Amino acid sequence: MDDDELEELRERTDRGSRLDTAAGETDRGAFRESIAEHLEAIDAGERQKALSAWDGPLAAFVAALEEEEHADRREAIVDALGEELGVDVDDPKKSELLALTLRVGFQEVAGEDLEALREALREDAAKGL
Amino acid sequence: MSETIRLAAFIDKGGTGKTTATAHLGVALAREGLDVLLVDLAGKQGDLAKTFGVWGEYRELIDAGDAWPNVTTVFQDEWAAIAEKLGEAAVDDLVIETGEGVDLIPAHPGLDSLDADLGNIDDAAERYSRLETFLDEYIDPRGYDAVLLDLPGLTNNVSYSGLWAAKHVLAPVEMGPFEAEQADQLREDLTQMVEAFDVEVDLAMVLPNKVDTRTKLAEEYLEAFREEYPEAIAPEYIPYSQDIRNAVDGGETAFALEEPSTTAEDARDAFEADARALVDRLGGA
Repeated sequence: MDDDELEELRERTDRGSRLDTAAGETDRGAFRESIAEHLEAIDAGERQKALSAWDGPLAAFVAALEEEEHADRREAIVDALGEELGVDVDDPKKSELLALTLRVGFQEVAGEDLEALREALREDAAKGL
Repeated sequence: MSETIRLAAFIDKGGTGKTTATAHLGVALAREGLDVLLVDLAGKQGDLAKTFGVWGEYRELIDAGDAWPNVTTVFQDEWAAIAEKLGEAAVDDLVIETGEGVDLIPAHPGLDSLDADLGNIDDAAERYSRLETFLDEYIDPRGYDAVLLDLPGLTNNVSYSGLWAAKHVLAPVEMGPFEAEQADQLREDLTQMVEAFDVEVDLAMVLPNKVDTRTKLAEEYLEAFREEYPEAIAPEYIPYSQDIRNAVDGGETAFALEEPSTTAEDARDAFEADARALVDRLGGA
């Protein structure tokens, strides 16, 4: 099937058995709990917030984007990332640019898993109420 | 024949031989020259397809993720869009041919969660009419003379959808006190459906199934059913036959047996007589 629209219809309507669905929900529940534990550790200062990646060519690509003469290019990328995630981003720093890019990537290939992060954040936020 | 006959095999009880009766009546109708489609909504086990020995092949499609669209897809909001995209292939992909002259839309594991999905639709008419719309718009134009639905052996959103779509019910019953109660319950349910939704659903046939006439009790129950349902009772009861069980276990109906036993032959004759009665009652042929 090479038609994207049809594939999307298929994803929306293809049902597994109730056991499959329940198993998926249980898996996501366990993942969400792991995320929640790490969020707590970060809040308590036991785990650092920084992410790092060792990738020379990408480091060069990002460094070039950071240069003032390529501000237009940077802004176009940031706008596209913001649009993809449905958020407004104004002149982000390097860290935000990378975080947005990562989010878009995870969203693309693992939207369900990223949903577990959103749920964990919602639960974390609700704790303080 | 001008209009498609629709019939839903239903009773709120398992083990009454609903699937076997659906399969045999379907083949009996086909032997009368009707173009027949069977639809398995009874559960993810695919028993109707097993009766015709075609489940193994379909199960492979399911396991490979290739059984889409399937019987559950036609209940979804997106069905019309899918059918438009796929054209004729949408329905072609749903239907498989059996070796016994009837077509079949087999069951799918998604039937398991379909009941809950339907439960999320607030409006009852919208919830229960989706199957009817599918049959009206996509199956009837294919020129089938008869469409038989095998429904779950319990009352849920899927079985209500089947009753709503078929408007005529076949209730296979065994000869025992619980079946008598369930048949009464069915009659009450159908009356309620008429009152609640203004949808006319009639009990087209009460089919005494797996009747062992060697026992006096079975004879008594048979007589009681005849008195209780003088209009709906099938003209012929289906005698118990180990041969039918063996045939079905082996992936065929008793009609496919080359050397049927006497009881299997009696059962075949009864199914054929009852199939003819159904056509008369439902105004076909």
